[in-house]
Amino acid sequence: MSPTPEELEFFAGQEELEIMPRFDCPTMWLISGDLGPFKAGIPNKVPLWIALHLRAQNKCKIIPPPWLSKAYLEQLKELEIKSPLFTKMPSEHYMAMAKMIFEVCPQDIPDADCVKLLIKDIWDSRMSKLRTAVLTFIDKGASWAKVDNLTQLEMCSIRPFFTHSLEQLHRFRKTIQVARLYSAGNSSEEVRRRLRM
Amino acid sequence: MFDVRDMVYGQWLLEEQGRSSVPPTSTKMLVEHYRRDFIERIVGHRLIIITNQDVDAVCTVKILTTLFKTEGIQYILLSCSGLTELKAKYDEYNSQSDRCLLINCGGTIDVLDLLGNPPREKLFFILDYHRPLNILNYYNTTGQVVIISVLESEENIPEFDEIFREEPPDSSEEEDDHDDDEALDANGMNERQRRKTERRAQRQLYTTWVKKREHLLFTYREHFYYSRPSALYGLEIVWGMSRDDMESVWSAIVSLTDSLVLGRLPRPKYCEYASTVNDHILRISNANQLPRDCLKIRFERDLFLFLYRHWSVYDSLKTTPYVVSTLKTWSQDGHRKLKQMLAHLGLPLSEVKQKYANMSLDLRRQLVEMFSSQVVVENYKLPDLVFGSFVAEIGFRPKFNALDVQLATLALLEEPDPNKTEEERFLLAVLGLDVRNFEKGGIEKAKGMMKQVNNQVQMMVEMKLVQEVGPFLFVQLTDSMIDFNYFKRPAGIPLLANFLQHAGIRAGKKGWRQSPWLIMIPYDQEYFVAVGVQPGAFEQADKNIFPEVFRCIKGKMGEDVVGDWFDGWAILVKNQKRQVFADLLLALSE
Repeated sequence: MSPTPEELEFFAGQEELEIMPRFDCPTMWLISGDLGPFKAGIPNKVPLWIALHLRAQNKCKIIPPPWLSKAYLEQLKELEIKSPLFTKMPSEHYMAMAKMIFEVCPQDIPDADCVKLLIKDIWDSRMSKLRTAVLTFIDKGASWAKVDNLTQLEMCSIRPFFTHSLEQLHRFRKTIQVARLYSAGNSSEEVRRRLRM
Repeated sequence: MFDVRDMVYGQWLLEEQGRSSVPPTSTKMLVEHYRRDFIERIVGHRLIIITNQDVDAVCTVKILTTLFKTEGIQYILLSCSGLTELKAKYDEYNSQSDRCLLINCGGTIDVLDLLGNPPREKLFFILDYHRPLNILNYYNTTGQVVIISVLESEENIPEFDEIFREEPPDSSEEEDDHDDDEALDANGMNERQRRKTERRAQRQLYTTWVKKREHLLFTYREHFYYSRPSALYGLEIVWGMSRDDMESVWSAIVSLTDSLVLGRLPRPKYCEYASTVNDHILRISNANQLPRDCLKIRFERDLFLFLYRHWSVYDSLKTTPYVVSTLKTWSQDGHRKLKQMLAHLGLPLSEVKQKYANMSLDLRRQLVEMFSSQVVVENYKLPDLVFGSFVAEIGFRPKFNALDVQLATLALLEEPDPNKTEEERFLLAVLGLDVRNFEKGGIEKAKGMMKQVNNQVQMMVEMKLVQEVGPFLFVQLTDSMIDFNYFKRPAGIPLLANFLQHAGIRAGKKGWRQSPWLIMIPYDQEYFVAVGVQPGAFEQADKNIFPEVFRCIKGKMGEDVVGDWFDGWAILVKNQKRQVFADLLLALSE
């Protein structure tokens, strides 16, 4: 089945992130991969879920990814607002990652309030584009569309509505078709069998 | 041939020799490096934490347990109110672990003796702000007791050689030796007589040394006082492990404010510690602005009015001990003076009587300026109404300052709910210190507590309960109409005691300033609490001689006196023996 937002957050946790550990530890051999030797003060790349776990215990400091900064996001927001299509996001899970980092350690990110606001703005503009696209899709009665650069979470947010409403539309169209056929008076065996389907 | 066993044996010999050359008791039992001497000795063992029940212990527990949780150190948290409970709890749980941390208890008593000389593997870490430290804790032969403290210059712990010395052999043992065949030497004395005079000289030196030692110990133990709050040491431990954050700093601040309000620290010391804490704050918060969601603490000048942000300014002025005693608001005259002051400052009465949150914003902003102005300081003699305090804010919630949080914690700790045991109250107080879930319940209880205090003081002044007997001033509080369940234990008693003293001095004669006070608070059907207060205790924290005095009285009265608490200036006395107690006290003061 399609992934829920919680599951998407779980997948987002596997993205790599840089941390500055405050402790020393030799290599750890975990099932999903190796955690390289940690030395206090030397930056290290680890999956996001490990980084947040350590940060909650105050054992490391998170170095924010390069795209999670005020300057970069301002540029991205400009591009997003100007272009009619969706622009490429710096990371497939930008929303989930930002949310998880802000939950645990907003103080590690410079200008955290502005960054939060910018991400929300970008999200809002993309969602509004998505909604207009869906509206156009339904109006035209099209049967397929190609969209680039849409992230999983955005898809997830319209998926239940979109599929459900398309299904309803299909039912309506089917009923109209049946009604037309019926009123045309064509009562051959073949047609009646097809109508009962 | 090169044998490994030879190498090992050689190493072992070296170690043995090295060990024997170091005298066992010359190393002082202080923690010098927090990680090496304290944390690394606990890691891997389960820790038993036994605490006293006061606000400082609550804060220290909060800081250290957060550290232990992240480090994966298991701990058992017990709280006790006195010596007997300490022993009982220890006996119950000591089989579970051999590392024990005592917070604010056990520093002034011989711990190993009290707990029945536990075996060598059990280590005791003492983090106590009661002084003077017991000599046997400081110089202990088995190395089991470790004190987490930095000695300050005024502590004057006597040197090792001045207290411990081997007793020279008795000269009378040599009496039955025969001196027939000893040769005479140049001085005309024979060998045996020379040895005898030597020993007599040694004996005399020894007796003078003993006298000096007794005098030294007496002066050392005479004065009881408090040093740096334990929560500040907790903060340093956490800092040493690089696990510090704003929450720990906030707990340390609450503890520091507690020491100030209850008169455990003099103001200059408070300012000194406050500036060190401020350095911690500056270090932890980044150079750039902290985001909204994080706890932000600021050191700023704030009013020394209890609970004014949660009450109206007028109510707060009428309840704060400092203002009430200076202006004497229990009388009509004082009441008028208070209203006059408000009018002088330009604060309309209608505004000031409203809840603080509903006061107009301009007035709220100007409050600090107004109350520190010349008018207030000179005309109404209230110079200390504004002091350096810490204010915390988080998210978009209203700010709260350390004074209110400290009073709320004290109220939670001391609340007179018969359904809760003392341990439960302690744990509730620890939970209530959490900044993000700060409850208003504690504040309401604090308001009740302050109202009680004020009622007591009013009653004392109106019914003239102060009696001058000898050099002391006795105050006998009755529990006829108003209960004071909040003040049954040394955690909260200083609030009442200092207030009574200040008010009594203002209401009574000028000469009362120099006398020590003895306040008798009913405890329950059988006992009352006798509290000894030094002269001038309300103005600045002073060394208290009452613990020693009470100890002598206990020696004479035996079972009728229960001197269980770690703060020795308050003891329980049987109700019927009140007169005996008073007589003994007067006799001792001669």
